[in-house]
Amino acid sequence: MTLTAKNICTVYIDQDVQDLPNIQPILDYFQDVPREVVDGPTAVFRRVAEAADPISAAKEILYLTKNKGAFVRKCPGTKEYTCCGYQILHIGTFCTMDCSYCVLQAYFHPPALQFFVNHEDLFAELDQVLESRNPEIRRIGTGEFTDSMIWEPWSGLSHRLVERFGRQDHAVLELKSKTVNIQGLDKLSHNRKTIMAWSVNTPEIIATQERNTAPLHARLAAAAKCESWGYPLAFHFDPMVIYPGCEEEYKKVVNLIFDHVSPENVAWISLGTFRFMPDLKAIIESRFEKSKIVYGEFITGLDNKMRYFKPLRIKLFQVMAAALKKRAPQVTAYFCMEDDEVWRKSFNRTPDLPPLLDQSAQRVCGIKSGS
Amino acid sequence: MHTPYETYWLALDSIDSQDLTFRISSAGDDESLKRSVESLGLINPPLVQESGGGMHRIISGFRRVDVCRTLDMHRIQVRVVDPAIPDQECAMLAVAENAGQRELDIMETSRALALLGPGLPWKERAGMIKDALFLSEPPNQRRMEQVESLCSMHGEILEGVAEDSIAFPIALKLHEMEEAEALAFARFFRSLALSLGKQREILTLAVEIAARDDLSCQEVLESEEVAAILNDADKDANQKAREARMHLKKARFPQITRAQETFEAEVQGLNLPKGVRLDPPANFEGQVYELRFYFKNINDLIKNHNVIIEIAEKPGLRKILDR
Repeated sequence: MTLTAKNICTVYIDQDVQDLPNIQPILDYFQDVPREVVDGPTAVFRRVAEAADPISAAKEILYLTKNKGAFVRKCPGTKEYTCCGYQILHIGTFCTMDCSYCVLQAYFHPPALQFFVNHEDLFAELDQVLESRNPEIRRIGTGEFTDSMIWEPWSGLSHRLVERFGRQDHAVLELKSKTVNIQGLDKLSHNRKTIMAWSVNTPEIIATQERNTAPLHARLAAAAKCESWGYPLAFHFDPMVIYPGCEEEYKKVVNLIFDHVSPENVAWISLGTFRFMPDLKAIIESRFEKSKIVYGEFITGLDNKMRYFKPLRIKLFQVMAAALKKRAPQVTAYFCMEDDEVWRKSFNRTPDLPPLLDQSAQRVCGIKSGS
Repeated sequence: MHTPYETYWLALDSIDSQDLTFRISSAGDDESLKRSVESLGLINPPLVQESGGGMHRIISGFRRVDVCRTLDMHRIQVRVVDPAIPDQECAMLAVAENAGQRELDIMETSRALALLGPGLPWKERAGMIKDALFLSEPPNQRRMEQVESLCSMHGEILEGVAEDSIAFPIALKLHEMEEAEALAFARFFRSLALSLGKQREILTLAVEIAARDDLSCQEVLESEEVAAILNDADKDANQKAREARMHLKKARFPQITRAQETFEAEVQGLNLPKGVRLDPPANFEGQVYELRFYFKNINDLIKNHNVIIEIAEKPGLRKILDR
């Protein structure tokens, strides 16, 4: 679901950003929505925290503010599991869609739909990062603390980002979404340095756990459209949920993907089963009463998150590895936060993951090898 | 508050023991009270208020009046408050009288709280509760509301709380459930003597099994398997509790419990020497096993060194590690 004037009840504007040049077009777009200029986030956080359901309330309150910290940050992995070495471009926080398993519900205290409008700072930092040609920063994405595409059609940020990445050959930008907000991407000079990525799941999980998201067929149609515009693609099976019959259903999703797009345009496919901070369980139980996803066979992982019992993860991953090998053997598939045993038993290898993904980006997106 | 009262003698027939509006006390040791009244008389006369038609309702002293009746007394000394005193003030008197005599148990506290300003804003109620219960600190609203909810709970849950077979935090959870579900838990807990931790574990297991399998908690707790455990006359309460917990754990985590059982069987097959123990990675998640043994001196340690070599050469160990 796009963040539009229809689903926002109040726009708060941090007084520090009210005079920025890009704020007026945003306010024009939200002209019929009540607005308030605030001195810092306290009033916004208080309004969210005082709501009966702060998480739902936060989805209707837009806070336009400044990112006072770093825009480019290392993805918070843990040493116990293999991390892909991703970099986050921090454009905003939270999401208008409502997925039961979403970690952002428990990650922010309280959650807030913040959009950082100090884009000149963002691009200055990005220029610096890209020009440094740091070999450890080859893959940068905006879809970690938010959905990359909900901020269309009013922010104009994706347009600027896509074209900025199109003017260099060191790194790729990944825009990850569960929406189909791709209208603005046509005819941009992307130079194949932007990967359009979708989180995918089985139709049953999308229907029961992912409120207000686009259905699978729509996501895949959007991916096919982006492919026709020359964009490289990626897919993220994350979180995979274990339920009776899930193996066949996930195999069908693999086949559906490659009924829509060609493997040679897919930079990578990630696999990750549902894992969660223990605090998220009570949130899911209270906000998604019909959801059964927390009643799987979970153990406390080495990173203190709840994870499916390892043999169950491996079993599902083996099925997926076989399905991907059969349908798209050339596509790089990887695990998000798994250990060597899972890699070995599912893919028969234990890779050095960041270089493996960098090589995929070189092959599919044409970034230059080395630094 | 200073409520005036008069003390005089009143016929027991004119005291209405059926009006339980202000009753707070739980059943107590009536025999010792009886002996006390027999030998010393009523030291502290009950507090009553005229309720019309020549009858009086009891504000405080229900047990004392009952004991006097069983002793065939006809008249007793009472303290009578003015009939114009409103109910809320009488409630304060009832609670203060009881709280001043002894430490109220949790049920008595619950009944006392229910009497103190129901429906009034918390700020007003807090002051009344603090005064009537002689608290040194302002009461905690959440805690007080939880305790107050006890007296509106189903009788079977209350009996469980009173006999200590249902822990108070568990009773609160049961109170939020549908009655049939709550009663299924109440009966289950009352049939076994379980600690709070184990009650909590069983509650969570059963609720989650029910949610996962589209069953009611009642169906989970009253399944044939559970009934067979609970009705087994050859097992004591501890055995039943252990087996029932294991059964529910197995139903909730079938693959994990199977892996644990398999591991234990395989370790048993290794015939490890006495005092040597092999543990799997925690939750079978990591890849590090733990072999434990004890030694008192160098000779012991050297002996254990040989034991380690022997264990490492066992084909059964390879099977375990290659899981």
